[in-house]
Amino acid sequence: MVGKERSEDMKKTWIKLLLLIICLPILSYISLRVGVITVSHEDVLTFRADGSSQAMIALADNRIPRTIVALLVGSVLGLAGLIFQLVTRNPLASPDILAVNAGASLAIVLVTLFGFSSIASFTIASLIGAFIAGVIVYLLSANGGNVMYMTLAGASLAALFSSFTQSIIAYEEGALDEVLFWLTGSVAGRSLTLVEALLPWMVGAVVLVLLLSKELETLSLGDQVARSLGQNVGVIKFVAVTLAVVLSAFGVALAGPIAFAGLLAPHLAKYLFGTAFFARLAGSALIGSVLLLAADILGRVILFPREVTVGVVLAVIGGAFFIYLVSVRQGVFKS
Amino acid sequence: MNTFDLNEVTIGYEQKTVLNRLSFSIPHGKITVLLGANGCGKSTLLSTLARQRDALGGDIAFRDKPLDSYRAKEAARLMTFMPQVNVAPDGLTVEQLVRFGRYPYQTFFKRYSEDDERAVERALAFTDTVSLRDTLVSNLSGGQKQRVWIALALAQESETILLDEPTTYLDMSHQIEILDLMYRLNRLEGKTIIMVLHDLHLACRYADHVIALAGGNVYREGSPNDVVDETFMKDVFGLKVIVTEDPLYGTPLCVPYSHYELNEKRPT
Repeated sequence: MVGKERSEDMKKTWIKLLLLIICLPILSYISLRVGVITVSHEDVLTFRADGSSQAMIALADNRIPRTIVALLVGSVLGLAGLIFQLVTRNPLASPDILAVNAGASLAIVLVTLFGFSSIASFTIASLIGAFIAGVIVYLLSANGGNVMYMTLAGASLAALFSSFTQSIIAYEEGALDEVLFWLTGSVAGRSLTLVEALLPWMVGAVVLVLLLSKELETLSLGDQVARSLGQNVGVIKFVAVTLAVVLSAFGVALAGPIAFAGLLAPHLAKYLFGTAFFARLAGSALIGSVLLLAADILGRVILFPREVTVGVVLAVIGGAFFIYLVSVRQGVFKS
Repeated sequence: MNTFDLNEVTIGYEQKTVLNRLSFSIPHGKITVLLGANGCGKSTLLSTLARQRDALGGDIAFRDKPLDSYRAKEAARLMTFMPQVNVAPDGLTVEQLVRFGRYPYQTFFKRYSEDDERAVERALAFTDTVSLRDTLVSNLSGGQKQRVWIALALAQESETILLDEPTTYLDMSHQIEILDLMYRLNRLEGKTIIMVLHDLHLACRYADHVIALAGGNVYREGSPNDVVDETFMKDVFGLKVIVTEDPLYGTPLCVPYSHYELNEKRPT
C-alpha cells in the first residue's frame, strides 16, 4: 500500500511537470501572435526570415527573440532564486532582493557609459557586477547569518546600486536612452545575436544546477547534518551560489533587472511539488519561464496598443506576493 | 585500538582558545560521555571530533589515521554526528528523512540500491519508527523526532556515533528511552557512542567512560565511579554535593546542596 501511494505521488509529480512543459509552447504561440502588428496563425506556421511582409518582420525582429528571451530569462531567474533560498535558508532571498541584479545593472550602465557596447563587455560587466554585489551582501550578513540581516543588507544595497544607476542616467541623459528602456526589465528589443551568444552558457549553467540536485537536497537538512553525511558543504555552497550569480547575471544581461520572478517561481514550485526535490528544481525553472512569458503577453494587451514592460508587470504581481509572504505568512522570518 | 587519540589538541575560535593542548583517547566500542559545566567547550570538542570544525592545533587520530586524512564520504561511512538541534525541511516524511542517511554510499552514477533499502528498514526497525514512516517529521513529538534523527544516523551504518545532548528537550521517560537506545546500539551492535550529556545522574548510569573538562583542559577521565566525587563536583561545577549510590545501578548519584537554607522544607 505504501509503495502504491508513493508511485501515485510520483505520477502526480510527473503530470504537474508535464502540464508546466505543455504551457511553454502554448504561451510561446500566443506570444508570437499577440501585439500591435497582427500576426496570423498562418504567418506563424509559414515563418521565413525574408522580410516579405510586416508580420514576418515583426516575428523575426521582435516576437521570436522576445519569446526566447522570456523563456530563458524566466528559467535562469527561477533557478537562481531557488538556489539563493536554499543556500541562505532565507525564503525571501532572490537575485533582486540580494542586490545581485542591481549590481549587474549598475556595472552594465557603467561600461555603456564608457562606450563599450559589445555583447562580451555587456556580459562580463554583468557577471562582475553580480559577483561584487553578492560578495558585499555576504560580508554584510556574515556576522550573524540572520535571515533578517541578509534581507535588509540585500535590499539596502539594491536600493543604493539603483540610485547610482539612476544618477548616472540622469546625468548622461540622452546618451543612455536605450539603457533606460532596458533597465525597466524588458524582454523586447533583444537581438537574436545576443541570445545566440549566451544560449550555450546558459544551458550549461542550467544543466549543472540540475546535476547538483541531490547535493542541494542534502544541504536542505542543515550544514551540520549535510557535513555529517559526508558532503563538502563549503564547496557545494560555493559552487551553487556561483552558479546562481552567473545565472542571474545572464538574466540581467539579456533582459535587465527583472524583479520578483526569482522570488516567486521557487515558492510556487515548492507549493506544487513539495519535497519532490528534482521536480521542485526543474519546476522553478519552468514556472519562471511561464511567469515571464505570461507577464510579457499581459504587458502587451493590458494597455493596448501601448506596451508595458515585463519588469513592470512582474513588479506589480510580485510586489503583492511579497507583501503576502511577509505579512500573512509571518512564519517565513522564523526559519 | 582507540576510536580517537588526541595529542596536544587546541580547540576554539579565532579570537579565543576554548580548550588548550588536550591529550586523551576515546576507547573503541564503549559509551563515552563528555562532561563539564556550561561553556567549558565540550560541544566544541565534540563537533571538532565530528569534523564539523577544524582544531587550532595538535593531532587528532581517528581509528589510527589522521582525522583530516579521510575523504568526506569515507569519514561519513565510519562516523555520524547528530547536532543538538535538527530541523527537517517542511513536508518531509520520516522515511524520506532516514533515506538521506545513505548519502555517503551514493555517487553520481550509483543511486538508491537494495543495500540502501535494507539499511533504511533496519534503522527504522531498530528505533521503533517503522509505523511512523509515512508521517511528516514536523508532526512528530519531541521523543519521536529524536528517534527519527537517530534512525537517519543509523542508516549511515557507521561504527562511531557522536551525539550532542540528544536528550535536551525531552521529558524523563523519553530521556531514558533515547539512552536505552544508545545502550542497545552499543551492547548489541557494538557501536562506539560518544555524547555530550547534561544530566550527570544519567551520564554516570549509561557511560562506560567519562571525560570531564574544566579550566580549558581534561580535569579527570575514567569510569564514572572513578571520576565523580565531591571534590570533582566542587571543581568542575562549583557545586557542593553529597555523592551517593544510584539505588538501582550503583553508579554515582549526586545530591546537590541549595545555596539557601530551606529550613521550612526540611524535616527536623
